[in-house]
Amino acid sequence: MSDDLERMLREELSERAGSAPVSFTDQGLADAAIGGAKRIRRRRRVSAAAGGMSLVVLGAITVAWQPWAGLVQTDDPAPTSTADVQETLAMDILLEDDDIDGYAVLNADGETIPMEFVEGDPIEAYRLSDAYVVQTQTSINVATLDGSSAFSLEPGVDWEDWGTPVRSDGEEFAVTYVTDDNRQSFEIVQNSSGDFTSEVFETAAEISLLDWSDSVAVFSGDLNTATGGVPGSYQFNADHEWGLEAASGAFESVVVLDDYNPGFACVSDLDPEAGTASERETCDSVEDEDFQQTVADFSGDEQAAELVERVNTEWYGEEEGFLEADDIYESGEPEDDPAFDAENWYIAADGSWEIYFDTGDETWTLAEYGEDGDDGVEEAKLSEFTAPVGAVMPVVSYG
Amino acid sequence: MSEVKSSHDEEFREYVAARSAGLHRAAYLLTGNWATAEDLVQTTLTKTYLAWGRIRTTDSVDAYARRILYNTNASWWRKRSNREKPTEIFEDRPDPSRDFAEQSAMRDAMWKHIAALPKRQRAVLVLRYYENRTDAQIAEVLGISVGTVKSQSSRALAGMRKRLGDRAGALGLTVHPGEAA
Repeated sequence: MSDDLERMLREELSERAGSAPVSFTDQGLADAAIGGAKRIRRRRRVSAAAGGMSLVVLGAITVAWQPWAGLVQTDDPAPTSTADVQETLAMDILLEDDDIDGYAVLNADGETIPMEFVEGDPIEAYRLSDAYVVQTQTSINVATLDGSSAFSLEPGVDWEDWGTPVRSDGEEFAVTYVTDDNRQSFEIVQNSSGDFTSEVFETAAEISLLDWSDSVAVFSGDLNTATGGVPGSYQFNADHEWGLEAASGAFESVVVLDDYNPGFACVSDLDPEAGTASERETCDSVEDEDFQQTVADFSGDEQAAELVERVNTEWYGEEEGFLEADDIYESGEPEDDPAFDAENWYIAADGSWEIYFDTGDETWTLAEYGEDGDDGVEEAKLSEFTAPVGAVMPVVSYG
Repeated sequence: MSEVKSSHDEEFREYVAARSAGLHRAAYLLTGNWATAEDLVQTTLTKTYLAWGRIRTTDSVDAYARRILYNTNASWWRKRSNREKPTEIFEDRPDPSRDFAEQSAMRDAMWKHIAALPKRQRAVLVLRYYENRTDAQIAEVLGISVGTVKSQSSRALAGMRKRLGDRAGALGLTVHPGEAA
């Protein structure tokens, strides 16, 4: 403490902080946080699915999140046949198949696709436009839709620490995790007629991949520190040491959406000859026509700006934004959420259905979402169906 | 799997029971309003639980929660700035226990000055003078450089010295205007 002012500042802050008018030992605080977090996970999945992204841990939470409300449940959930569910929802189901002593996918056409290369208990399964991805706690297994070609990735980190964002058109997915030296590793996996290839690069850990195409990758991050939200040319990549240039093997350009100024973005041209400095890094509103043209020019793709604008709308549109505590309080009690106590819970990529069950349950609960009700509240109807013998989980489809 | 989830939840409840008071106090200093502080802590804990499976076994759980607290507060400011002004959200709290009226007035003036500071400067002051964090720790929590921590702190103290200088002089307190770079 160098003078009386600083001493007084310490005393004042300490006294103010110590004047708490209420007790903070309320057990409900933790339970409310747990309940709220579980709803956010569900909404994050829905939002991520809409943006082509699976479970990625985000540095800043910018998820769409609506209070759970409006679930329509009649006297008893109506029973539904598995075949009806699969046909109506075009849903594949991962199951344990005794005939092959391993896992298989029962697709919506009733065909069984062997996945015997999957070793260990599956924790997540999804279908891309031309591949299945089945994750266990040690590996990420990829196979063609007929099961004829497959390979496995072993990220080398705990399964809770890796993410597998999926491109919104279902054409590709990525494996990403934070390395021991606090860098973020990406492996973009591509499937060309059963010939799986991948592109690997690293960036800083504080940005999050939201979506991508063949030409442009869209991340989110803090641009405010470098730009103050003011349009212009900046060396934001160098300022933050994000290392975006490492992605030049996979993309022509990178766009970063600002976590702190929704609708504000920066684009970096990854052209190795042009570099990524100053005049090749432009920041402005994603709706600005000049900015959109810059994105198209840097990407060499006239559709690139459309992707950027769509991702921005999905992640930062009016119905999306930073989680507000008011939302939690207005959502009702955590136990009102039918997913609150469910051990397993899966959501369609387009958010049109959710399935809840505990491991070993023969009957699964299905919530199908319909049109908004008159009051604008999201509605759903509950039903139950008997899962196929050996059923493990529904396969979530993308693209 | 459900036993694991239950165990995680119980660990989280224990963490909340042990740390929520401290988080509330810091949140109050950042927001100047107990109701807003409660909202901020609730949101912080929700975000912390989202990462619980990843951070629970590390020794940096509290650092993670505090980083969430400070950064969430910063984002709220940006979102709410159109409808709330810093001088409106801070509560004046009369303190009859103070013996010296001038000193009390100076403290109140100091509190109002803190209330009017930009959020980052206020956060730096709270971390440095309430939580007793080093500049490096403050930089890590706020995600800024150590140089920025120093400049933000200097700027906040300089303004405070300027505002309180005359009153401090009258009270015989030492305030070094030269330290504010």
